Amino acid sequence: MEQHGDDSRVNKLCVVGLVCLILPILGLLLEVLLPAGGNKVVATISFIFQLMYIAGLVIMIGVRVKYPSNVFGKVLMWLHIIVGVIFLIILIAAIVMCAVVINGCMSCMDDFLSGRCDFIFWNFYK
Amino acid sequence: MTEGFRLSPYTCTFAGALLVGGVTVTVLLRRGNVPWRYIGYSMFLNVILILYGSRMYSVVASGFKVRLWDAGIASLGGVIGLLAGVIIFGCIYDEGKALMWESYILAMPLMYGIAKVGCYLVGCCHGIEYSGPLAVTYDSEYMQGGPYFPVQLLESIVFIIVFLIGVGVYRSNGRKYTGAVVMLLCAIAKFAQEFLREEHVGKSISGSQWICIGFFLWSIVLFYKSGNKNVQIQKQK
Repeated sequence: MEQHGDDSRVNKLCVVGLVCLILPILGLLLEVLLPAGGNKVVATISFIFQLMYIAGLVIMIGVRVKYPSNVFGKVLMWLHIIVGVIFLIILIAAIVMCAVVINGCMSCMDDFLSGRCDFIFWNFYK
Repeated sequence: MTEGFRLSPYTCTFAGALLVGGVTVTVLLRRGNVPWRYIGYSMFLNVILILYGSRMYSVVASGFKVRLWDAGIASLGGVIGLLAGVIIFGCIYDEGKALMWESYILAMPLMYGIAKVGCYLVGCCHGIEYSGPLAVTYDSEYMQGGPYFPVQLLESIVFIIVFLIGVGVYRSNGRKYTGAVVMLLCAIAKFAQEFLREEHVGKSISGSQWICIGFFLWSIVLFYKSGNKNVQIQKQK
C-alpha cells in the first residue's frame, strides 16, 4: 500500500495540512470572543474555516494511508489527536460547568451559558 | 426551586447512534480484513463529517445567518456528511472502497433510527397536529405543544426495518446490491414521512424531499453499477 513519493512533495502537503489545522482553531477562538448574532460575514468566514479543518483532516489521513513512514505525517496525525482530545476535555468541562451553574444560582446564569446549556441539558424547574 | 437536571435524551441517543453505528461498521470491515488503522481513520473522518454536516446543513438552510457554533442539528445533514466521508476515504483507500461503502451504507439507517428516538423524546422535528392513537403532547422546559403525530417514532421504526432488510440482502446472493437497496429504501421512506411533519405544512416539496429525490436517483445509478460489476467479472474470466 505504501507509495514511495518524493518526501519534499509529501512534506509540502503536510505543511498545507498544518495550516488547515491551525487557521480554524484561531477562527474558533475569534468566534468565541465575538458576540453572538446574525452576522452573515462572521458565519461565512466560520464556515470556510471549518471546511479548511476538514481539508486538513483529509490531507492528514491521505498522507498516513499513502505514505505511512513519513515523519511529518505522523506528527500531523498526533497534532490532530491532541486537538481532538483538548476539544473533548473542553466539551466535558462545559457540560460539568453547566451542571454546576444549573444546580446552583439560577440568577447567576448569563445568556452565553444558558444558550449552550439548553442543548446539553433538559431541565425541570418547580 | 430546581428539581434536578438530566442529560438531554437527544445527546444520549445521538451518542448511542454513533456508538452502535461504529460497532456495526467495525464488525463488517473486520470481516473483510480491513486493517484496524484504516477503520480508525475512516471513523475519525466520518464522525467529524457527521457532526459538521448536521450543523452545516442548518447554516446553509438559514442562508448563512447563523454561525456553525449556534446552528441546530439536522439529521439529513449528518447523513450527507457520512456519505461525503465514505466517498472521500474511498478515494484515499481505493482497494477497500466497495467494502467501506457497503458497510457504512448498511449501518446508516440503524444510526438514523436510533437518533430519531432522541428527536421523539425531545420533541424536535415533530409531526402534524393529530389527536388519534399514539399522539404525543410535549410539556417540558425544552418543548411545549401538541398533540402531534409521532412521526419521529415512525421514522425510527421504519429505518430500523430498512436496516434489517439491508442485512437480509447483505447475507443473500444479491449482496452486491446492498448499498443500492438501502439507499433506495431510505430515500423513499424519508420522502414519504416528510409529509407527516408539521414544518412541511404549506409546502409542496420541502428541501429535505429534494435531497431524497437526489438519493433516489443515486440509488438507481448504484443498481446499474452493481449489475455491471458482475458482467465485468464474467468477461475477465
